[in-house]
Amino acid sequence: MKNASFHAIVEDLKISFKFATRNLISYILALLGVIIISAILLVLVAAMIFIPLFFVSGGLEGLIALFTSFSTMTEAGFTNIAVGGLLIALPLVAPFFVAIGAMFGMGREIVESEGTSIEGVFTWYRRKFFSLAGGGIVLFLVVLGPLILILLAGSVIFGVEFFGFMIIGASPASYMYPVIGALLTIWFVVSTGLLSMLFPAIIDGHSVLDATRKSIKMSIQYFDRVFGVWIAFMAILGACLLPLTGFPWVLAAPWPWIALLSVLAIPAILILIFVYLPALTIGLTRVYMILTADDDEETTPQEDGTGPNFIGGL
Amino acid sequence: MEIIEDKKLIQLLMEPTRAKIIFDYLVKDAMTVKQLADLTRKNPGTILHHIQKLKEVGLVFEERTEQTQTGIVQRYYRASAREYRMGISEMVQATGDDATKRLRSMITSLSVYGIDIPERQIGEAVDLLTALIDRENEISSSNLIVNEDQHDELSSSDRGDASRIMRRFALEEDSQYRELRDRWHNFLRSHRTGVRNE
Repeated sequence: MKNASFHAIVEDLKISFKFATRNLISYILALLGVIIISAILLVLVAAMIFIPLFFVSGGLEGLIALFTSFSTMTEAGFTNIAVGGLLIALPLVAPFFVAIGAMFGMGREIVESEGTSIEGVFTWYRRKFFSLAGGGIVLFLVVLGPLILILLAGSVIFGVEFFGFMIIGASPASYMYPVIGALLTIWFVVSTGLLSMLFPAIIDGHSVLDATRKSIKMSIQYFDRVFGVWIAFMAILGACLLPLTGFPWVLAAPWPWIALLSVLAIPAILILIFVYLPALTIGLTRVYMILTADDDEETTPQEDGTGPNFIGGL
Repeated sequence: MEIIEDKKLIQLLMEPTRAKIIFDYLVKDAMTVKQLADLTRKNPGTILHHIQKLKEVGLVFEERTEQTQTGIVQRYYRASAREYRMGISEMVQATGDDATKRLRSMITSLSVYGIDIPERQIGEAVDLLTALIDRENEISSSNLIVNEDQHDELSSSDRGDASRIMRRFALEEDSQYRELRDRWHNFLRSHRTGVRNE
């Protein structure tokens, strides 16, 4: 059951997409609900950050002056901006990670009992808010942290030009693009793959730290199954997004091409959000449950020769 | 049998759905979230949250996992003991008025058996009964088994009957319990009206 094979991974994908489409209405309504809640939370968090900043910096002009002052900073200043930006970004992205985490809760309900409800997502959102936000922050830091560290270390060693080199190097027009693009893709797939069991473990009742440890341990111990499913999902995502990579060239093409791409892009995005994302949460939760099947299980003595009790009371 | 004395556990089990899940179903058999959801008519998500709470405190564990043909991964949960009793003093401390009200109501309801306890003596009755149940729980929860291996090989009905015989015997052997029981029985006798409503 735990071993990975081509057949097992194809089955994982088939079952995930089958359950996702079967619960499509619940997912659409639940996703719309959590997106609205997350947006409200985002506004509240942004208000909590920027309103005090507005008064401390002395009104709108002061705030503009504060942000424009960043442009004159040296490499040490860039370090501050990067770290400060990260600290501001974390509370802003946290509500969306909670929303994604709550989807894993719905996935768990489906994998364990074949059905879910719209209110289920709100229950997970409310009950696991801090754990899921913490999990999201860990994911954010692990995936983006090393990249920021490289940028910072590079800027200290090579100067501010390193930022420009990396950013221009990653642009499609540069000869560096394939190398940097490939390295970034590998890092993204590996780091997110290592943490792919993070949200299912949080939903299973583990703390953020425990869930992080468990996810990394599982993805190493069952490398083939975890990464097999993860890479399969990433490949599907890549295949769906592949046509969009031609967008810059299409812009230069005659208008019917632009219209065609736009018409195709809308259903593609809807399918990605309302079918692919739920299928991903279902698939990863299912793999988590299969792989942790005998972790906490206890055996009880087999019932043999059961019959009516003769002695009552007590 | 397990005596639940932790106040947090008692508070946790005061939630009716949770109490139903564990005392009505999981003590008897291992069940899945779906089965429990069908029986309690709650949605699976709610049941899953309750199971997680019960699992966190060690009252429930995962017995086995099965994959169905449709791709569902069913987990079977079971209670950690076949029988539970709440520590009555701890229950009073944990739930305050709720447990006291329940005890008072229990004592008042003895009137249907011809035991009429006046309002002013209900407090005394509650104290006597609490002390008796506490002692009973203390003895019942002590491990009386001398051969664990042979005990595990017994059938569940034999195990249950043998356990009840020995718990009853252990209670009768305890002088403190006997004294408390005699005081309680004398109290009941003194309030017996002996009138039957045929």
